[in-house]
Amino acid sequence: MWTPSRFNVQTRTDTGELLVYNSYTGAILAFSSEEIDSILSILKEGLGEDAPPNMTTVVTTLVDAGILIASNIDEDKRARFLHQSQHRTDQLHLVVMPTEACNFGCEYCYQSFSHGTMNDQVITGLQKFVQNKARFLQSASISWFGGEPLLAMDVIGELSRSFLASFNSYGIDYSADMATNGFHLTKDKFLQLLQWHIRRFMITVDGPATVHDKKRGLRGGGPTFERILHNLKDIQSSKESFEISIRVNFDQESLPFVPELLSILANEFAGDARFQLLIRPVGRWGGKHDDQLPVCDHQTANKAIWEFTQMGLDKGLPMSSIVENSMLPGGAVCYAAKPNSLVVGSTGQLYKCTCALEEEVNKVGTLYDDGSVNVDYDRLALWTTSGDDTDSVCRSCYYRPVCQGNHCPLFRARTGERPCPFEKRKIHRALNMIWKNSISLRR
Amino acid sequence: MMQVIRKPIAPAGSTTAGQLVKSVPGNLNGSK
Repeated sequence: MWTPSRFNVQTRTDTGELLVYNSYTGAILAFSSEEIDSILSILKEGLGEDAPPNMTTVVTTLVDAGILIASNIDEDKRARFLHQSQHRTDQLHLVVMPTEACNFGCEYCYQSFSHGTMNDQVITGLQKFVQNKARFLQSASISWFGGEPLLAMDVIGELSRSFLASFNSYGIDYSADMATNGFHLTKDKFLQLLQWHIRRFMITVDGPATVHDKKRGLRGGGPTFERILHNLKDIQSSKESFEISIRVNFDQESLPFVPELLSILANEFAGDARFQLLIRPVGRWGGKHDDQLPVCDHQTANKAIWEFTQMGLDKGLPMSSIVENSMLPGGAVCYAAKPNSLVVGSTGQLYKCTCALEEEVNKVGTLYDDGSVNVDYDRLALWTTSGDDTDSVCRSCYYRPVCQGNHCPLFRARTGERPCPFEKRKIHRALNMIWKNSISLRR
Repeated sequence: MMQVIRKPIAPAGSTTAGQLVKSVPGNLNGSK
C-alpha cells in the first residue's frame, strides 16, 4: 500500500501544469493537464499494491521522489533522523573572517569593525586546527566573510594554500564561497580565488548607481557602483566556471528603482547562467542606523521578493542557486544551528552566528595558536538545540525536513517567534520560480 | 508528459541528504 507523504506540496503553474514538491527529498515533478486528474487522485487517496498498468513509470517516479511512501513508514522518524544527521563529525564548515575591517559604510550594516586583520598567531592556529581535523573528514567547506575579506587577500591566500594541502592529502571534498562587496574583485584577483577553490560568490548591488552609492558607499564617502559593475563585466569575459549571486537588498525607498537595476544587470549578464539574482529585503539587523531604516513591512517584502525574482527571470537573469538549494532537505538550516559549523573571527574568537558578534552568548570559544580550541558547550548547545526539538508546531509542519525549525536560531531567541524561511512563506510562488528558472536554463 | 524538475537529493532515508547543502553566511533570512 502506498500513501502520499505528509511533506508534499502541490501547486499549479501559470500555464496549468501541476507541480508536486517533497520537502524530505527535495524532488519536484511537473505534470501536464492530461495527467492532473489521475495524479491528484493518487495524491489524495494513495494506491493499492499495484499501479494502474498505464501508470507504472509515473508511480515509480512518485515513489523515488518520496511523494508516495509505503504506508508503514513513520515520516516523523525520518525527519528526526535527518535532523540528527547534522551531528556528523566527518563534515566541517567554517566561516572565516580574515579581517573584520571594511572599506564600505553601508547604512544597514550591523558590524562594529572593532577588529582588523587576522594576525599570525590566529592564522597558524587555524591552519593547525584544520590540519588536525582533516583526517577525520569526508568534506569541508569554507565561507570567506568579513568585514570585507578582500582587504586581506594575503591572509586568504596563506590559509587557502594550507587548507588545500591538508584536504588534498586526505582526498577530502573541499569547496569554498565568499561574501564580498566586489569593490576589489578585479579579474586577476578573481582568477586567483578560483585557484583556491572559491567558486561561489555573493556580491550586493542595491540599485542603480545613485541609489546604490547612497546605501553602499565607501566608508568616509565615495561611489562604488560603477567599479563593482566594471569588475563583474571584466570577470564575465573569463571562460571559467563559477557562480556569482548578485544580491539586491531592497527597502521602501529603493523599491521603485529595482526594476531599473534589473534592466542594467540584464543588459550585461542576461543569458549567462553564472550570474544569478538573489532578492532580499533590508532588515533591522542590529546596526546603529536601525531606527532610521525605511524597511518594508512583511507583506510588502514577501511580495516584492518574488515579483523582482520573476522580473529578473523575464529579463534573462536566472534565480540564484542559493534559493533553490535552500529548498532541499536541510537546506534552510542556518549554520549557527549546525554543530559542525563555526565562525572564526579575526582575533581567534569563535562564534556561531555572523549577525550577533557583540553578544556574549554568541562567543562560544577561542582558537589558540597550537590549533586547539576551548569551546563553551553550554553556549554551543543554546544554538544547536532549538528548532523542531522544542517546537511542536515546527514538528508538524510540512517544511520540517528543510529548516528543522532552525532557519534562524537568533531570531527565535530574540523574539520568541518562529523563524520561517521566505520560501516557505510563499511556497507556491517559490515553486513556480524554480519551474520557470528550469525552463529558462534549458533554453 | 511528466517532467522531473528536480531529482530527489539522496535516496529516501539517507543521512547524507541534509548535509549536501552548503550554508551561505550573510543574514539571508532577513526576518530580524
